[in-house]
Amino acid sequence: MMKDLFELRDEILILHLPDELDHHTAGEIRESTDDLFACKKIRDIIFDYSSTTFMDSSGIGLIMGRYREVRYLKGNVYLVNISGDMERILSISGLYRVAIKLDTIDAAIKDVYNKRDKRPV
Amino acid sequence: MDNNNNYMSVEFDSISNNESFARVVVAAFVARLNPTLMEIADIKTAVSEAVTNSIIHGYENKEGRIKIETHIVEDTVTIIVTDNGVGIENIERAMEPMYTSKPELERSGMGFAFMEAFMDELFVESEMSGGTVVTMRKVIGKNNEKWDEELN
Ligand SMILES: Nc1ncnc2c1ncn2[C@@H]1O[C@H](COP(=O)(O)OP(=O)(O)OP(=O)(O)O)[C@@H](O)[C@H]1O
Ligand SMILES: [Mg+2]
Repeated sequence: MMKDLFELRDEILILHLPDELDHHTAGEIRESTDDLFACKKIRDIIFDYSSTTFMDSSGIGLIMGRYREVRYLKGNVYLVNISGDMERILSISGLYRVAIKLDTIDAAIKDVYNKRDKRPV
Repeated sequence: MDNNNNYMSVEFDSISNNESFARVVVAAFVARLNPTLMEIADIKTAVSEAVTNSIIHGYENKEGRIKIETHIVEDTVTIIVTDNGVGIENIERAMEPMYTSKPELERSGMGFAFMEAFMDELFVESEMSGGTVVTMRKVIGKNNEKWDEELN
């Protein structure tokens, strides 16, 4: 299940979230991202919701936690491919105050490069 | 017996692997009320929050049993999630949005807020070292008329 969950390019981590993001699956993802963060430099994270049909507060906690990690390097967290169901819980959660919502992975990557051009490395 | 009155109870070990089982079994039981997809999503989220709380907070990831009872009376579903864990010291404070006793576990304090947002009623009873009972209620189908209008 954890196969092909991640893509890492140019210090951008693209994380394809599972069908159901709860305490159980969030724990597995956290372990894998902790390993990645330990050995690679990651400045921005894109959470891809295209396969996700369920999320609860554990998913909110996962994203908030990764947000705190990339903020050290002044990076951003992106949420993309949000469906109607996910939109409801995300908007109640207040996550949009810290994470950037965009339509697609490509749009998020573009935004990363735009923002990097405008700040010293 | 009245078709619209129905009761179901399940009890399972306090392990995270059972969270998806818990919400699916309640959703399947409620399905006979012909809920909308949104109502099913609301119930799944609320059940997931209550069960996750029992596992993380009630039993602190140690051994235990969690019980879910579901009553259907007419168009109202009542879900009762019970654990025999550590209990909640201050229920009022626990129910405040953003309050969490376990920030180190990346909890955000949104569980009760989601249960409140997605269900019609929420009651919490708890006793230190005795356990916690979360009762949630939702009327199914109350928005269906509005939906029909929108579709026509
Ligand atoms: N079954 C329970 N047993 C003991 N304490 C509980 C239980 N349920 C909730 N609590 C207490 O209430 C607090 C608030 O619960 P709530 O679900 O709102 O937030 P959380 O679980 O801390 O974070 P999140 O749900 O966002 O992951 C918890 O931090 C915990 O202290
Ligand atoms: Mg919780």
